[in-house]
Amino acid sequence: MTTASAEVTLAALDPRDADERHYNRTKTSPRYHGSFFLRMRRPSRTPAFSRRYVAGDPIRLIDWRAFARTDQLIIREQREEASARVAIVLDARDSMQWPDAETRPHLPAAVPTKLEIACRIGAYLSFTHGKSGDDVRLFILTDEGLRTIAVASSSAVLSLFTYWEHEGFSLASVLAQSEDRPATYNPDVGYLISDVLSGPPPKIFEQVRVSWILHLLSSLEVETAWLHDEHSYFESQPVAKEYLGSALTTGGAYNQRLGAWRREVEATAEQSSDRYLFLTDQTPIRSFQEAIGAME
Amino acid sequence: MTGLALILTPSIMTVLVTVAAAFGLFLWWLLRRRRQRIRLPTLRIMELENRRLPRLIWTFPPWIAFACFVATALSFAFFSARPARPVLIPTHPDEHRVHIFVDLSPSVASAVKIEDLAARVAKLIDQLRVNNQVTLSGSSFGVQEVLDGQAAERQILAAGFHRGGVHLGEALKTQTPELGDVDRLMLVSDRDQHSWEDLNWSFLQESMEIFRVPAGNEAHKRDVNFFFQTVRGVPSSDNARQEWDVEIAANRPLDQDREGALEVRKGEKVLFESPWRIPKGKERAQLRVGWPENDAAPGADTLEWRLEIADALDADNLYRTHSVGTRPDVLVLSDPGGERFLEDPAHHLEVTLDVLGFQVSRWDRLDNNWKAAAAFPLWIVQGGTGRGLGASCPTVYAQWRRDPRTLPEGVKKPPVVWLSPFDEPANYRELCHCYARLTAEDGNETMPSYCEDVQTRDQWVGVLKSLGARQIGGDVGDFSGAIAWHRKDDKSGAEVLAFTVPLRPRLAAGMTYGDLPRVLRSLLRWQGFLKDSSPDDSWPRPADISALNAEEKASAHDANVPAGESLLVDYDDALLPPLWTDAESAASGAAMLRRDESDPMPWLHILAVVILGATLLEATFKISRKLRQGLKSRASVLILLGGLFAAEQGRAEIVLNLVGYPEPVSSVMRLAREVAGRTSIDLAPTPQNTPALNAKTWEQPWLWVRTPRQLLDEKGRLAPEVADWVKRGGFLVIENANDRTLDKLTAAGFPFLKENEGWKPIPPDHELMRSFHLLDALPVCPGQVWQGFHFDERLAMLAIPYSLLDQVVDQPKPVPCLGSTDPERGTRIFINLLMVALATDYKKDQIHLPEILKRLR
Repeated sequence: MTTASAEVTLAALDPRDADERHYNRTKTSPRYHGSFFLRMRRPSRTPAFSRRYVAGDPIRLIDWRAFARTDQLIIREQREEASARVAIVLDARDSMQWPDAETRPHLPAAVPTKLEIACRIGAYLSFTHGKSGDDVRLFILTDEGLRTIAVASSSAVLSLFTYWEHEGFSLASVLAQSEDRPATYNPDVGYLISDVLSGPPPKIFEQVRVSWILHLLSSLEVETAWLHDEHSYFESQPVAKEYLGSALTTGGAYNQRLGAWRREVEATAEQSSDRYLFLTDQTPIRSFQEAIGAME
Repeated sequence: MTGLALILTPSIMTVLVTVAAAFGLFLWWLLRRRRQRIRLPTLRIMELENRRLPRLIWTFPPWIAFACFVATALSFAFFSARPARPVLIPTHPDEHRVHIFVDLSPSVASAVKIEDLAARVAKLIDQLRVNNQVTLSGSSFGVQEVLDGQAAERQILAAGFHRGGVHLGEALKTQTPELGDVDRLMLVSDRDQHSWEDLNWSFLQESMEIFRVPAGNEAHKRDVNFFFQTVRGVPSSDNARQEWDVEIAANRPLDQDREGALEVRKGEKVLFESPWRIPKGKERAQLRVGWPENDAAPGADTLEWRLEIADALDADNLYRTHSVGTRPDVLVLSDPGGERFLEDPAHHLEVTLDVLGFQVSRWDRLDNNWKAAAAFPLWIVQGGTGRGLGASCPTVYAQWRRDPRTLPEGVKKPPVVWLSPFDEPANYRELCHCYARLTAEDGNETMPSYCEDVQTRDQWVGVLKSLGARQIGGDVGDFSGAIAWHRKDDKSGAEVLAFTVPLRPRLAAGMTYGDLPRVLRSLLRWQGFLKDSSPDDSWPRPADISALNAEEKASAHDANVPAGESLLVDYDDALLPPLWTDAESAASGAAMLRRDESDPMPWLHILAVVILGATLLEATFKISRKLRQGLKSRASVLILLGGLFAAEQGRAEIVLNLVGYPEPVSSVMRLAREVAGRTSIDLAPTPQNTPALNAKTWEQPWLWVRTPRQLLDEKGRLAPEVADWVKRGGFLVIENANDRTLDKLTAAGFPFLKENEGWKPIPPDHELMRSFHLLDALPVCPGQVWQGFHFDERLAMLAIPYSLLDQVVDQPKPVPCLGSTDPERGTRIFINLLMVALATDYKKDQIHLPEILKRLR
């Protein structure tokens, strides 16, 4: 496991960057006591799981210390450990694939697509929760609908991440491992990794205890210094718009409008008791981990 | 109007086209240099309306627009630089078009000499040429642009006065295509009624100015004019004389007695000379003149008639005709049918010959007067009366023919004989006998064998043809239409013309009262007995030479002057256009009117060409782009080309995919025809039937099984492919199903059935009831209804309580539980089922259909 420095950004996030401290805290966090039953059982000393010995009970369950103390055969029954159902939704709609192949040559710097960052974050979270014993499911939100990727274990997350990395985090590679929308799933924890530009995501889950909105934009969408008048900037969804660079930058119009919109998104999240976190590909991994951990 | 004229000049047009072309090129270049566009999804949330670029986004350089523009520019350049024919348009916008038309008719010649007229026109042109484009035309020459007066003078002198007449209206109408748009029309003419009577110059004044320029000094009162009114040959009572009736006329009643002389010349020889006189108060003199035939000089047969008198117009004192020969006497041999002319077969013949100028001698029969008869050059024999040949077919004729020396003295050759039936029908046997006598080589008087059976006209024609005569009249190859058959002996010159129709008006024979003179005239002219005298074709009296073609116009210089020109009747000045005076020329030039309507047709033509070209270019471009998009690689091009040439005709059809139906399965030809006729789907006329489920079964989109049992194997288990195939989109039709068999099917290990909603009756508003035809209900067997199994929001399996297929095949079988079978209902259900199988509920959005179905029920 590599140690992430403060300068390393989300553009280089790897599932194995999971912080041990963060991992432990996740594991012991009380809110992860959910409805998911682990296979493992262990004896419990709490009175609720104790009873008198009845002929035929396994001898190994007898609490010999209590017998020595009280001369009574007390059975300590096994306590069932519970963990959480975790759903991670990656938005893969068209705006998340920016910068696309046509746009990339005209950009001042090589930045990863938003989908790549979303995949990195999704893999990181899947790995972390999987290590904690949670039941993790990855969902891909496309223009056509919701698809799911079954994540059996943390090692499966690593192999999936390796495959994505090898394929350049393309949409085709992300969808390649996915299946059609599954039956109803009610997670305890839900993460939505999206730029929210294609509109708010549809109602995916019936009920979710803790919901995160990881608002992800490209650093070039946040930083406007690269816009200039030689080019025009267009978007044909949902209606065609086209502006010159000066029209966007004059008077900080772009930044003002973007900031206002971010606040709107945050306010909307707060209204529905969602936890909001704004990220770009330039967000340092450390601060991301802290933000995730601080709010748990 | 002036602005329009300015724009339409060729030089301005050229400049405009050049500027437009340069501007178009600039536009093209400008559009090519569009900005590099970068997609930025965050713009979805931007609302900076007042700083936006226009929504119009150029995604492709406007090649089509450019091509259209080039086509337009080329069209403009072509049409403005190279007119199809020379058009007379002023080269300077301030110039006006002035056209001068010179009347060179005989009536003008009476008032002015050609030199004076030419000089006057030359002077006029020199006056007008300063600020105008001047064109000139005459009654005998076409429109031409004149550069100076001298050229016009030369042109007029070269043309000279002509002898034909002129109608100014017709002459101007003929020259209109060459004339173009004229601002001012000047007619150099006199006031002659004949010239002006057809010109509606008031109408022309709406689009141009019109002036009349006097051709000569009209103040001078014209003298009396004398001319030939008629000259025509008359039948002479004496063979040796030519006789003519001549009528000499004056243009008005005379104030005093006038005398003149008439001279007739043939070449250099004067045939006749005589004085004539028209007394005071009269205007006509009629003469009969004649001269011995022998006086006529050989060679030229043109007669020149001259009036020797001093009068207004010299041209009409000369008149030309053909010389007319004398007419021979004709002997008509015809047995009279009665006293009244309708009964006499030769009556109309005699009258006609008389009218044509022949002296006719009518004999009933020839008897022995053949010596006297030999003097007649033409005999017309009307035979076939059935009263015996008489002596009208003399055997002596055959002798004359064989040996002309036996002719009576003074007779050079045997007469020409016309042998005609006296009526229709006639006794053709007798006619044939007569013909045989006239043409017999040996003088045999007995009837030849070929005449014995001749009863009808057709047989008569057949005999004439077989005897080697020449057909006269009728069509080639149509012998029955011939009027006569001609036979000529070259040695003696004897000619026999055997007619197949009577020479009298007879409707049955196709000879009308009008035909008889025409036929006779033609035949007489053909055999040299008749020469025409009047009216004379060679020297017509053309009332308007502008209506003649070029060849006729050339010969019209020798024509006879028409009487209308010779009359010299003048119109009053009030009826003629305003008179042009030289003093007016300077003042009126500036105030010249101009037509204010312009012809849009050339522009419309150009636009049509441009639109057509643009459409073609657009279509070509679109198709090529589609092809280019579709054909990314060379391999795909090869496949497409190979497919075009090698592939069989593509065809898409659905096959009835049956399992377990008893062989032989009836064809569904009728059903296929119905399906193809009502829908756009082709159904194969031959079903594909297999006894049991196999791999081939699953290749089709639907499957019909005879009973639910067909889906089970020997051990009563369900084939696993069934569920897979249905899940993949297959449509299963189970016939003869009931609740018991369906339960059995479910029990036979069809977990797929258990997992889903199971079998449910088809509701009345199901898509099956409305997918093509609107059905009120599905036929049911007692206690059994149609049941459907829905999967993936579509009807996947259908259980029919009876055999629908038995109802719709070509040899339908009775369906016991339904009672009477209704093929049409079965066909409708089948078509609905087919539509559901192929397209599921494609009418889902037509929300009004359930309401219609409710009303239907």
